[in-house]
Amino acid sequence: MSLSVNMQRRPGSRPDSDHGVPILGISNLTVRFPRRYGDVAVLDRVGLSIGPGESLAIVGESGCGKSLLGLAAANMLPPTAEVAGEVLFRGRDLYGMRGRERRAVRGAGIGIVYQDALTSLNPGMSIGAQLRQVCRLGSPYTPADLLDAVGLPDARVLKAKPYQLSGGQRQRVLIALALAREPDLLIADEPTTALDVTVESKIIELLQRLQAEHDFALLFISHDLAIVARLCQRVAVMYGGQLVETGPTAEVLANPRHPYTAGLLAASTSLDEGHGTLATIPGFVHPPTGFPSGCRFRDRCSHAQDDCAVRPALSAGTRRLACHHPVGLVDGDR
Amino acid sequence: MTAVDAPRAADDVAAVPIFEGRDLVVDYHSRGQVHRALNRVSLSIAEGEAVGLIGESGSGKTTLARTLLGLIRPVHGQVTFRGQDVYALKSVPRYRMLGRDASLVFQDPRSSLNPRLTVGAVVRDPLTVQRIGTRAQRAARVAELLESVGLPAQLMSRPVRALSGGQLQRVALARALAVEPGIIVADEPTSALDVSVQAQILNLIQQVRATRRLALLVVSHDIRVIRYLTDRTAVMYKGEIVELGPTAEVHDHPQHEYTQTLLTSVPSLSRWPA
Repeated sequence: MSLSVNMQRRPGSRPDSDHGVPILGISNLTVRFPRRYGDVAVLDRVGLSIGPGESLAIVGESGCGKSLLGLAAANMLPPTAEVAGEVLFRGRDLYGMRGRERRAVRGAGIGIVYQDALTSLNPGMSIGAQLRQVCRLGSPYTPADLLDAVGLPDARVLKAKPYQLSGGQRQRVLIALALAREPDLLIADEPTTALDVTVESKIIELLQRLQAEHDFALLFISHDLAIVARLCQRVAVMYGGQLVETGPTAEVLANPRHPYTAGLLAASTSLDEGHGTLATIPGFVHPPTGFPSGCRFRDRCSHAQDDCAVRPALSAGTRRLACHHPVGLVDGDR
Repeated sequence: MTAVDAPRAADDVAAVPIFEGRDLVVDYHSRGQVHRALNRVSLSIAEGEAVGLIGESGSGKTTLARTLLGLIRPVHGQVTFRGQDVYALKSVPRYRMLGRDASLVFQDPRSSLNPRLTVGAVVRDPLTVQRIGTRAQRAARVAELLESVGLPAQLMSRPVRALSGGQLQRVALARALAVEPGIIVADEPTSALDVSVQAQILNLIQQVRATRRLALLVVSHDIRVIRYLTDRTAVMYKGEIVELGPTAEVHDHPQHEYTQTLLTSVPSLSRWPA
């Protein structure tokens, strides 16, 4: 990894030294798919922000809208989506952009690493050709630099086609592609779920190192709290397209307030301990047309009462919560 | 359904393992190159026993499971199923024998179950194929099976594609149980599922095993899954079993270097903050 020195960010190369403006600011984001789900808000008034160099995890089960939020943050929703609310990228309205400006943000400002590297890479092109394609659009790095930075032997991998690489190697290639144009924001959508635990652990280390070297903001989408705990400073828990709890990862994990967060955490830790009956969250995530009114978690929630039919508001502050009957009132109250 | 309920083995043969693989060697050929996927591997699974196979992708875990199941003929070695030499049989009687008594659950139910079939048809298929019971008995049995995996019997008429991942894995388990097998082979049964749903399925597997004499072979790269489900663990690395012993022992006192790496790689909240 000797060449990784080449990949160190040159001081002052990033135009924003303007502190205070978040890299990504989402407020009141609502997404509907009228043809498929009618009037149901598949993302319902979601608000969050990520500062420069910060890492935020979006956590929740499949079908909670995590990936959709990732796509919305990159302005990559399908055309059938109906979007309301605001997504600001470095203070500029992402959905107000057109043409060249929009392409510049999507191509260079935001990098995306998808879950399944085999379907995200072109199966007929060599890795080198795919990297060159991106580098040509304006990258300070060569394809060999990029592979070096993600810990791949460049001579062999440049010539290889995706099917000749292992899952972990392919995931590294995707990360290299996403970083080629020095994005300010990297969105990683379950980048390790398809991988073995040993490989997963190495990919997480790689992301940590790259973030320290390149100082990009990271939006990390995952269903695994144990990984989030290693990687992200802040966590936002989603259920049914709504944010239910956010805050510093350490605080949320030490003292979860929303019953859903507590349930996810219990499922994770009881598997760690590994005996007796494992803790679960009863039931399953409904498809959008089956979301209950009010708090969408209430039909699976052991704390639910009648007033949960009215949607609880998300509180303000660094530690935010949307619940009428939170778990464990350790430090007081809301 | 007398065929299903008939006692399977007399007590005097209880010591005969369900599966026994001895000295198995499997080679894969690609582009003129030979890759040795299994190198002199031996493993036996006793009646009612739960055995785990752990190792990274490409270590040969799935190949070993498939070889035991009569799906890959080894170039060397022997597989016996309840004392019967599996590969001495022609393919049709072989599949018939194993299909009657050994079931499979795959990693991703969305790709292993036909999305166009109804849930009922998926669970009923093995009964039809094995000609177990009459039509009416099969229908009743399907309802019973769905309930035993925690699904309402009304789901029977729903198409597979309408169910969630966790529900589908329950359907896959109901299907596996349909023939009342002596063993279920589960290849990464929970790695396509969310953590919370994973816990539901693992609980269910334990619950199912508690109520019948059922052996289990679990293939996984997640030591937590293996530890939770199994009595014995075989650690595979590059086509060989490098460590084999009681699960608790392998977990608490790993001998092989690779086993130690596997253990430290597991994401864990209890080890956090490191």
